[in-house]
Amino acid sequence: MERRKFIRLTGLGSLSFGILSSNSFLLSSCHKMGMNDSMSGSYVEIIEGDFINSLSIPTTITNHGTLEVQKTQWQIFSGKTSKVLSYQENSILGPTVLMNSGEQVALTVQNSLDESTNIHWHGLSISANMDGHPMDVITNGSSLTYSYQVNQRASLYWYHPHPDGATASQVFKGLAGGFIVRDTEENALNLPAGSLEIPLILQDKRIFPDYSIDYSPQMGEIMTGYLGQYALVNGKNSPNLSVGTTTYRFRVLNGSNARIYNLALSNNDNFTIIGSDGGLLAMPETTNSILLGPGERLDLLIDFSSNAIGTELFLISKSFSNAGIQGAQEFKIMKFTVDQQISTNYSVPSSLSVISTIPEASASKTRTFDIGNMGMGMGSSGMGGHTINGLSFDSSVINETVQSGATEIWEFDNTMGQEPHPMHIHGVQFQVLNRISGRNSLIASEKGWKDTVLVLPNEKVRVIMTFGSNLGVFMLHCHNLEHEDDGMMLQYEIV
Amino acid sequence: MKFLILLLFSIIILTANSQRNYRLGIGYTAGISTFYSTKTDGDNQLLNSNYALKMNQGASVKFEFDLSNRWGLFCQTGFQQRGVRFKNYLDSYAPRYRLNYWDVQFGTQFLIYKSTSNNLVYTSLGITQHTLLSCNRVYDNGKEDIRDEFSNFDMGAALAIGYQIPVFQNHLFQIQFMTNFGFHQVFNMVFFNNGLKGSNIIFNTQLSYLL
Repeated sequence: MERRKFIRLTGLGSLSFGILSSNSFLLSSCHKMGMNDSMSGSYVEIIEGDFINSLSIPTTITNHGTLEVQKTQWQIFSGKTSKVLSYQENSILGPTVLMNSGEQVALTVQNSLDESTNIHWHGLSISANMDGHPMDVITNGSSLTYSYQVNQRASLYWYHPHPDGATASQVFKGLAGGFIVRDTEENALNLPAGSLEIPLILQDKRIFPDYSIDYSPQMGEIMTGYLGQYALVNGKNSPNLSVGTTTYRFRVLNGSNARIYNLALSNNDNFTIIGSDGGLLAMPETTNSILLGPGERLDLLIDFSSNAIGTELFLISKSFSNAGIQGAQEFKIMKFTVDQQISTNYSVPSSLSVISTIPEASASKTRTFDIGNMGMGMGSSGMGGHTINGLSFDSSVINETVQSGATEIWEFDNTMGQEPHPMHIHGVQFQVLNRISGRNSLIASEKGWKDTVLVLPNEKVRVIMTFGSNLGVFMLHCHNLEHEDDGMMLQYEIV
Repeated sequence: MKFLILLLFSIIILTANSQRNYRLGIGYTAGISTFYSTKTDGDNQLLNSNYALKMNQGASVKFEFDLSNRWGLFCQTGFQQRGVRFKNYLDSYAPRYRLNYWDVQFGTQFLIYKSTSNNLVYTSLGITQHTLLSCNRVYDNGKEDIRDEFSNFDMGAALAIGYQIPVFQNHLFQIQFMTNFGFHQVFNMVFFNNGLKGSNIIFNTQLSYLL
């Protein structure tokens, strides 16, 4: 039975949930009566591995080539084979695209699946017809060449499928890849490079006892997002990375469907954040933990120079609160084993980049998006569900129209919400102005350019952006992929 | 199905009131199935789940032939579900392997007791061949075709004890309790290489109507 059909058949539950969500008193009462159990997913605990398998580094390609979307095999667990979807053979992750800003991309995507797919180039501001609109799909057996010029800041972007109603399933089963853009500004900083620059793509997977990836969300898991029991880094469960006594640059992507990580080191040491979604921050930010929502990226430096040879420490996710069902558990993600003496005195540049702050006064319009209430109308699920301003994705409706070159403030209002929503805007990079209520402040990674921002329950987050010259229809959606497929996605058009 | 109904109707007409040493009928089975050998070879890292019982059903055509007052032969063929449910996988739901087979069974029957009203207690032993028709991993809200990971054929044995009641004229009703277990590993390819092990076993009640 298709998921949407299932949702439709169980639509009464969805409708009831919508009613309950709009009234916290009723919801609270129902919690006490145990009525919420079937409508809200429960937290899925991470089961830690033994951290003996080496970290896998995704292969790389240039900005020209072919990505074949296919069913293939990969060993998430050492010696055990899982059937996965991928953009290349014998891998779960697609190759990391490496290119310089200003260059032209020509990547042909051959769809060898038995279903339609497409690619969204997450974070890239490119023309609308190359952006991976949910209705612009590559049917099975067909191919499409994505051709566009990248004129963006150096950063870790990423690519993943975005077909209407099937994004969550295809991403969870394996379709994702990194996309690293470099520029002269970044190159001049002499940041750790080569073997000292490591991509870390964090994902959680639910693995069936036969080692198949299990993507079978229940009604409640569509409400809360689909969580896996195993934390993967670059497609491997609980890996180990041998490091030397020096500073490493980690390019971190949360490629999970719904899981939020509160990243920290097991010895509680500080690390340095030098960039986020849209590239380098103005100056390094030091912290000992940071939240990373689905779709968000971090560029961080970890200094292992004070660790003795033989030291083992872990990248962990600390517990956190006010994020719906998430945050209840502290778990280890990967291990660092310090086993090489490297004598380099690396010092983090005190200044990284120039980020021109967009003044609030330059905004010509403020739009508010209510992301905290469940829909009551006919959504993509047929009976309401996740919505923005009470609306579900409808490909025939342009929900917002903006002027090319205009600066606007968009407010994501989750003050009445029960669930975290990582909100992602296609086609533009934005700056986060402020966070009202909830955490009430910005975190380190939000002090640079962003394309995805995590809005926890009880929070309102305001972002500001100037729309570029790429005219056409782009998407605005929650990057909890179950929410997105459930209809928490609108269209805006740059005219 | 139409053919079976026509066949049975023809047999009723042709065999009414006749003394015969053979019978033909149809049966319906329902019961539980699981895999009887251990799931893992010891290095499976996903030990948080175990095989549990799963409901199954089946339907078959049965032919019986009397060799003597006590001994007889039987042949039975039909559709039979097998499979397993996973417990302790996640609290929220329990996925299942649903294996659909076409069974062919040959065996011998032995009369244990016959009452004055011609009620019989009998036992039977047979060998079976199971041909896999389809195999899905079934969730509460969907299913996934995993036939490639399972062997197409299985051989097995069936043991049953039954009770037979004359209904009218030559018509007989049988209820039998049976077990049927496969000799071979059900897993194939990647699942087998991943260390999964298991062989079919079912415990069913079969209701048959014979003419």
